[in-house]
Amino acid sequence: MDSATLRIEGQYDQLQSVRDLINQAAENAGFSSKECYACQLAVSEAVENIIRHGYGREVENKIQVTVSTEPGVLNVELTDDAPPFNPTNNRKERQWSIDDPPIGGLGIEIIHSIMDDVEYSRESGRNHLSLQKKKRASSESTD
Amino acid sequence: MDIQTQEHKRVVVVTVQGRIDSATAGEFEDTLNEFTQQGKNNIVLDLSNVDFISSAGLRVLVTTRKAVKGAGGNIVFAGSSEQVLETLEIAGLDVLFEKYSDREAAIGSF
Repeated sequence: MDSATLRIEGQYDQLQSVRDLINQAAENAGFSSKECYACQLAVSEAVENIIRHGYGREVENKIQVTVSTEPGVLNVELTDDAPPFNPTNNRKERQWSIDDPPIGGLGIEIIHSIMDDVEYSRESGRNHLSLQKKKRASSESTD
Repeated sequence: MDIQTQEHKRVVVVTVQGRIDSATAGEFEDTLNEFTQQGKNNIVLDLSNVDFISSAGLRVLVTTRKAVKGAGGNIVFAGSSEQVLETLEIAGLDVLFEKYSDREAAIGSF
């Protein structure tokens, strides 16, 4: 199993470095380019949520991003010292019409749409969000 | 992210390049608001060269769509990158926006 850790400040201009890390790891896990993009999107949404809703604003506090891969599997763990914030608690029922589309709550829905497993825990005064994505059996590495 | 705007007689064309996420969505929103606040509610978006868009960008698209539709206008796409289409599809919002293959067709839809 390969793994890597990145520590960023809770600033939106750090998001691209997280996405680059995730893209590289997803490629290493053998994901298709479409799956790599989806993984970047899900993790970016999770980090944006930590900054916006966990800390409530951009901060200098560190967010730790740990990725580990094995063939066909990407695991990501996000750790931060914001007040307790469980993003999975904020899911809303998505019953909407074309005349009244949703504006809030899109980020967490995107995360759940993409990742196979989303788990939150609070340990030693820190938030831990674990995300797992498994490669689809039918996906091709070139799509 | 780079934004270019072009005003035609009845339509505004907004071309975005780069990434639309929480770092850049505010600038994107300000640009679109500038037009809608002037009553320019027919908007063509060229997102062909957007290589990443998160829900922060989708929120701008959805709120702008609501504003222009409420004022009798519309916001349509003249070309979208695969990444834009992918994010819209994952969020289930791809049905909200009419998509045209090129700028002329999009402008002609108004």
